[in-house]
Amino acid sequence: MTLDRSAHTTSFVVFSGTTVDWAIRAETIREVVSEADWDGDVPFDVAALWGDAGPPDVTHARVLVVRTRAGLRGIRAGRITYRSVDMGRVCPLPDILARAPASAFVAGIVFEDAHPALVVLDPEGLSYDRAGQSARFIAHA
Amino acid sequence: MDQARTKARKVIPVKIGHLWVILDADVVQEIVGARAWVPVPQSSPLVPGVLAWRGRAVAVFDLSVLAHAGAPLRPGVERPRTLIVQSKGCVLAMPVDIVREVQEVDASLLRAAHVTSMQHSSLEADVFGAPAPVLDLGSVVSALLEASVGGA
Repeated sequence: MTLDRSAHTTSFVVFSGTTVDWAIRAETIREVVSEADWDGDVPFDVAALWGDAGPPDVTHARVLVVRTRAGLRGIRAGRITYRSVDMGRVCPLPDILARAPASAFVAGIVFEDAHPALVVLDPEGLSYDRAGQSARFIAHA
Repeated sequence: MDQARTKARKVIPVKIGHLWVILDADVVQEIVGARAWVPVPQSSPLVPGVLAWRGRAVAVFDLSVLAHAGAPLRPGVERPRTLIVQSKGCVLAMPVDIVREVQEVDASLLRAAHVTSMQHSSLEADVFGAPAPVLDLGSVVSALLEASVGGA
């Protein structure tokens, strides 16, 4: 995802881990369903990918159904909120991490004093083979 | 006198786990306290994440992994001091346990590493009564950049 940093603000759907929050651009989300109602592939477990040991929020377990070039993707999330983000505050990953697998699905990070860091995800990257296989592996584990 | 000055090298001793490591003071941009960092999944243990510095995301370099000293960084765990260092145009954040003041060391006291053994270190010097490796940050950055281009 090429971030348009010239845009003032963009709306994101945000879900939380124990140390970071994750954000997906709201306009890419087709619907939000309960995990029980999701009948697609095993949803990507972003928290597991981050090694986040936070307690599963089973009462709010849901799947964000995201449009990608490869079709609809499910991303597992707990409680979700909406947040407007000043795109000028989204920091890209440093060059030294340019070839890290995460660079395929991390579009940038917003550091905020009052909140945990907000990791802006690129759902298209989650469908890349390398990252996708890893995400699926963790989701199935 | 002038000759002695030209031979002096300003260094900063830092401690990681049980090990003192010597850094050239020239590479240090800033020394700050404990800083929260953000893990980047599936990255090298040497560069496990990023932190915020002057409005941008800076790669976190875990000296404990390189030096095999102390426990590697884990998400949610910070170290008391964070050095912001720069070499070859690359800025890194290096969380450590202790940072001491800048010392002037006569260059003749820096010797080829015999007692110490650490990757990206070919020199050592005595610090607080014990030999400590001198970190070659330029070598570290070159290796990291090479890995980032080569897809390690």
